[in-house]
Amino acid sequence: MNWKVLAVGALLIIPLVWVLAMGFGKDPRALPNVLEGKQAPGFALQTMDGDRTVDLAELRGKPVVVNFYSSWCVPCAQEHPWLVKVAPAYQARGVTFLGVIYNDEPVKVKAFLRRYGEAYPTLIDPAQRTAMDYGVAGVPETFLIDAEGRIARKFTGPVVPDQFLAALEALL
Amino acid sequence: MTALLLLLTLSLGVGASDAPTPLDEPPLTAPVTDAAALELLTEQVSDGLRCPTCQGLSVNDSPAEGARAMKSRIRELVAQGYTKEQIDDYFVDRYGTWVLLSPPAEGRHWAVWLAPVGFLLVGGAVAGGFMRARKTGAGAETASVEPEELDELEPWRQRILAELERP
Repeated sequence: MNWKVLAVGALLIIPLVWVLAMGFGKDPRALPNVLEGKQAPGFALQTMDGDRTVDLAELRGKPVVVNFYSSWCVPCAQEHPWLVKVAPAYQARGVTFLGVIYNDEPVKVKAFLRRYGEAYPTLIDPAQRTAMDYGVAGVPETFLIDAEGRIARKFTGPVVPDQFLAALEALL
Repeated sequence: MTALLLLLTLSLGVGASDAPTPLDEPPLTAPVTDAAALELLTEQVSDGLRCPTCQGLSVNDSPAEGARAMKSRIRELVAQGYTKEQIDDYFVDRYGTWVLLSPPAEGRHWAVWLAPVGFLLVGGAVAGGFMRARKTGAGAETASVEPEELDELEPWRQRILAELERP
């Protein structure tokens, strides 16, 4: 047995296998989360009905849930009824829930809300400016903003109910 | 060495600081008003940024809605006089260094730039060792041919030479 060849081979192959193992264990679409703990980017967006503008700065002092979604997104349709169900109890405790349309048309979103329920305002995000400010790479993405206006938690994909509720309770 | 480089490479794009976003700062250059220059600069910046909803495509190359919105945002920022570095920082602050198609040559990102050199050196050393061993082996093989064996081959050699000389 040539131990030198074996050692060089192991030196080359073990890191390669390790890299592949690490890579296969991760969701290739999951982006690094760089916004948690940072000040939430401000926004002042109109509601879908155009009846008022919601300014994030005015909501300081209480937690805020911001959910980016689209009517064409299947996971959004899966999580939306659950959010609609839990929202009222938390709204009564001072939490503001906001939906933000991502790459969609209000008329389609209205149909989506009629079908899956509506418990909080949905905002229009012209040119996806706010989505970009929040580093949104797909929908749904949900941000929990604490009373000091910092992003406490980001959920990529549909919210995991237990984790979402635990993270929200921690902000109250 | 290789393992260390790979370890460093894997840890890319995780850093986060609480620095203010570049858009809280004023643009570093004068507004760009010339349409051709604006388009050229927009494409240069878009070429270096990754489309968040695609697989390995730049913002400039992607037809996805998200990439088009990003390009439109880049065009606005370039027009206002923001530099490539400022715009890159804006997106890195939100998406992480993942959004850069070429990681910056600084800090631990050096690993990405140095890893190929490391692989080249290791590969060169292995290839060099292999060729040296082959050369030594070939020499030993030639030296091991006995004179009697050469005598045995002589009739064959003569026959080949005769065949070659035939018109």
